[in-house]
Amino acid sequence: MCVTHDLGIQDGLFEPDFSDLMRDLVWTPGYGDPDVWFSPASAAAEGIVIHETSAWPVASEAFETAAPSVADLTSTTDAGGLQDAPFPLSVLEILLDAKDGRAIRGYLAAGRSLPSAHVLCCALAVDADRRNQAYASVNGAILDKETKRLRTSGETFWRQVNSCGPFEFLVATGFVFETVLAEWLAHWGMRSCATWSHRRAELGREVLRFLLDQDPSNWPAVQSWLDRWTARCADLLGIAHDVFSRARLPGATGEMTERIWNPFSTLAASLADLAVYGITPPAAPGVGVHSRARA
Amino acid sequence: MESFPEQRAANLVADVTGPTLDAPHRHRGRQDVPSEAPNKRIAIDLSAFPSDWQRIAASCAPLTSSARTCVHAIWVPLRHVGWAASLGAATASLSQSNPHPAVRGLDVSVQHLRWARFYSAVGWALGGANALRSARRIWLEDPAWQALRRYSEDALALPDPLGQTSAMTLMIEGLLRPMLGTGALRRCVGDESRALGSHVDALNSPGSTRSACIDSAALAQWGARAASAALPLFERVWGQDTDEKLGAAMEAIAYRVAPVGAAIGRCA
Repeated sequence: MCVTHDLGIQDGLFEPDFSDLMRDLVWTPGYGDPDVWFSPASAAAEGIVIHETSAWPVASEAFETAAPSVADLTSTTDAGGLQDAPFPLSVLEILLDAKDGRAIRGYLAAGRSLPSAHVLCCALAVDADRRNQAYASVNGAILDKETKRLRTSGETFWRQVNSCGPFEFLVATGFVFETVLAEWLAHWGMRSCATWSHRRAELGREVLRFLLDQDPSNWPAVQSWLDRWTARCADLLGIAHDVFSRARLPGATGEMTERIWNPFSTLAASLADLAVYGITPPAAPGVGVHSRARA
Repeated sequence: MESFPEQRAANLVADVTGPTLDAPHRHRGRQDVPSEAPNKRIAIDLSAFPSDWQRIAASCAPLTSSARTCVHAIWVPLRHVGWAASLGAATASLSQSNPHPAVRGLDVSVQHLRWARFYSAVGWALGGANALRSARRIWLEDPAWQALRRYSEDALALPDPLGQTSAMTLMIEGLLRPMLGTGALRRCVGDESRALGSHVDALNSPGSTRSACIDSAALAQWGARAASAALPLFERVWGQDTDEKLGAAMEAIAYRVAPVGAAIGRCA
């Protein structure tokens, strides 16, 4: 069958954004078994129902191609620039798993299992790689003894995240971890890095909303992932906070507030308008009390 | 695609204003900056520069109706090939032989996505979302594209993750880029395609294809199949000259063959 080419040429086309251009690239394989093409882990196993695969959020072009805005780059109030970093940066290397790149690997694996989300996952992976290079490529000077506990917890955390299915990975890493991390980074005075994490968390939140929009039956799974990963993030970042407090460099410009502060306030706020889907904010675990994460 | 004026302008601003987030570790020696250097931000109106999209739209504007149809039928569906290649490269970076996923596969994957984005932008300039939809229909239904589609699907179904990207790289870097470059545009569309051709050249410049070595196992296994899969497309463009051009392209591949596995490794 030969297809007629009716272009419907229009005058005054509006400027497309990245998502306009990168939508509908995926197709269902017609010459083979789709389960061979895409690893059949995924949707059914995790109990997530997707009706409209073309509705997956796509990262904006600015997210994909480059860097934060000029205003962000030249912010003078930032303590996150390396010369002023209040903490040894190897802690960030552990938190972001820069050395082994498990986060990047996880995003690419999620994109391989969910082909409609490949462009999104690729953009997130590139962005994670860029952030690792910017913030976590420097060897800090803290002793192994001090970081041993954090390193162990970090490795456990990333191993657990990577063993999740793709949907859970996107919710856990893309939303919960980034949101809580952004809050902590702001608390530690690393504002640029916090902005960066916040931008990623916004995208993670779009994924969350997309999952909830697709089918009402997705709610219980999503809620359980939120609860579980909030507890795990609380453990990991609580340990990181201990290390940070002890290893704080003299003369650092970052501000450490002593006020009573709930590191999960941002998470709760960004979940507030998802209440219509039945989502309740996870109970905030005690800060500084490292309760074992609930399995 | 990478060095358009906005980026240069942003770099200029960043140079003037000091360290950037891109590579803060390069700027650790802040005290090395002479104190008399003015740390002022120069206001540059980025809207004065045409955007990437505006230049692509401007280069598509002079095309006649028949030329538009030709570009749409032969170049715009390539966005799907680019997406498939990107998926293959992402898979390769998940293989155990890669110590770190960001070493190579991620870069290659993004390059293929940029390729797909360029042809999507061309399609959008030709007819907006409708053009992309009908390009998708061509990709799925037009008989001339089915061999290529089947090739992509079979490549992505390979159990070997490195094999997936090798087969797709062979197709794109070895055949589609050389065979459907500026020469093909001029032959198919005429001289009015010159502006568009310069974009295609920039996209296929050595800088962006340097990473794409073709590995010897893939060439042995997939070479003949790749050539026959893309043949109907090349015949539409090159007509009588197809054999000669295709032969030259296959010979050129032989100069870019790397040992098995190097296509995703450190090959420059």
